[in-house]
Amino acid sequence: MPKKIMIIDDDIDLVEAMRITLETDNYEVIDAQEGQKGLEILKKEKPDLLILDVMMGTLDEGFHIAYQIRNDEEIKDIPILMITAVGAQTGFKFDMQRDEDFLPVNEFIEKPVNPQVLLDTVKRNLSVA
Amino acid sequence: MPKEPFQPSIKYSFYTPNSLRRKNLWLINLRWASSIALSIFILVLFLFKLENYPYPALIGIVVVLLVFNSLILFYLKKRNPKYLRTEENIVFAQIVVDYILLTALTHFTGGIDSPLHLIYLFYIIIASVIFEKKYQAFIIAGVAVLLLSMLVLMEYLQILSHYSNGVKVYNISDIIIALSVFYVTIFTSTYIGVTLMMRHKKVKNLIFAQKEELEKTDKEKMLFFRFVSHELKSPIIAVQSAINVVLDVMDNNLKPKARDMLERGRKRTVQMIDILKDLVSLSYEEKEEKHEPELVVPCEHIPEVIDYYRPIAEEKNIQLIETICKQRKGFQLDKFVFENIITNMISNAVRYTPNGGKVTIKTDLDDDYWYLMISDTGIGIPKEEQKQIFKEFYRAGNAKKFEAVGTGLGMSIIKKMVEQENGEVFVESEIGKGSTFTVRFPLK
Repeated sequence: MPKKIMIIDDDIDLVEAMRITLETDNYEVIDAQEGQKGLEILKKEKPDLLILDVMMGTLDEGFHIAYQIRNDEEIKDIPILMITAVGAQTGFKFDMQRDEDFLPVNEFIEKPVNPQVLLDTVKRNLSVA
Repeated sequence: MPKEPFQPSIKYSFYTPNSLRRKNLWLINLRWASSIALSIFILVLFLFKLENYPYPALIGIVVVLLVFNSLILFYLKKRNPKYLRTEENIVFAQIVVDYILLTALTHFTGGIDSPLHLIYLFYIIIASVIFEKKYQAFIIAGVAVLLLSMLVLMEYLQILSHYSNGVKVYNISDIIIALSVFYVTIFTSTYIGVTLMMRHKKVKNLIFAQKEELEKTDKEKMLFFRFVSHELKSPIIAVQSAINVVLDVMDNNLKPKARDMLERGRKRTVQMIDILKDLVSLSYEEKEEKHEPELVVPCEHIPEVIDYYRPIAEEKNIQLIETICKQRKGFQLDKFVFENIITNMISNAVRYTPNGGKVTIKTDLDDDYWYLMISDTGIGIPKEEQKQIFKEFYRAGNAKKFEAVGTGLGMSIIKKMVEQENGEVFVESEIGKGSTFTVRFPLK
């Protein structure tokens, strides 16, 4: 059975680019363009991995979603890859990485995501999980 | 259309309980100094037996001066400055007490004949500097006039004895002339002092208001940068992601020409994203990006950055030479900013060095500073443009020819980051030979 990957990102074009990339490696891709809706789908579908954009409605909506996931017994073990915008959140990101307790995600990837990097990162995090 | 003169929107108050408190304390220090000067003066008079002054009375004045000073200091130490009125009253009381003591001193040294009555003028200057309103300095002038006039009158009416240096005659016309001169002098000084201070305060106010205005505008500009770069980022990232998928993921048979055009497109999106990254990092407030300083060991970070740039340099056949890093000890710095500085500097050097060139990274140390020197065999920077390259969006003329695309933000970002960490950055350069950028950080 192919592994199921979910993408939550409000930029439909980015979702499409990632979907095509992931499908070449035979992953099954589902998506949502909005955080709360994504959370509902996530609970229902229970994907093997989540790709989450930080900046959606607000500057840090992604982080709030990640917290909700980590605090929900049913889905708290789903690995999360967080996509951050170029340069913008460097300071933020840096602090998050430094403080392990405060880190609700498994790995950060900076936009624009290189297809090979995306595939490698997904593979790595799936094997750990 | 003529520009309207700048009108400050906010009134700046430099006249606060705290500022008055500082002046009160300043007056106290002044009084300690004058007590010492007065004691020396009395001692000299006594030792040389210059005149037959009433020494016990003079010493008494010094004692009263010292006691008063200690009391007022004690009072101020116990209370924090809270009300403007209170502090104003204390200044006023200090001056009046001084005036009374000065009048006594004048009395014992010859009344209107004593040159000490010139000291009344000092307080006129002090009052016009300290007080906010014109009339306050005039009140002080009035007190001076009143006290001296009363003294002279009482001496004339022989209610008080006149300590004259041998001269027994106390002539009414002399008194009138001396007092008139005193009145004119004191009121003219008050007027001049007050007028000058008013003008000074007005200018000070204007400068502060303008400074505030400029800072506000600068902040708005940065916010605008940030907004624009965020807005531009999403579409350009989507464009690049789409191209990436076509070029790297899709199993297609693109014609070489089509592939080439897409490659060109991708390259331009990379450049654009670089520009946006620069804009974003420039627009971030120092405070927002500030991390706690930690122990940074430069010799551990520099090789990492060099390794990262080696492939890029090799592509241009540029040698990256790293001299042995001697500094094994670290110093307190924001590590994130430090890495950013080295990265930006090496990237700049590689960028503006022609194929086959050399980039040398050197570190040094003296008692006060740690130095990082990055030299290249690049195009160099014209002398007259060396200062400008640290300005936002400035690109040297030859840099534009050498590399068509650039943001002109690189050096201004480096400078901003270096200064944020209390460091300095310098450049030495010769056209066609290369440039050396030196960054230094204080060790303490």
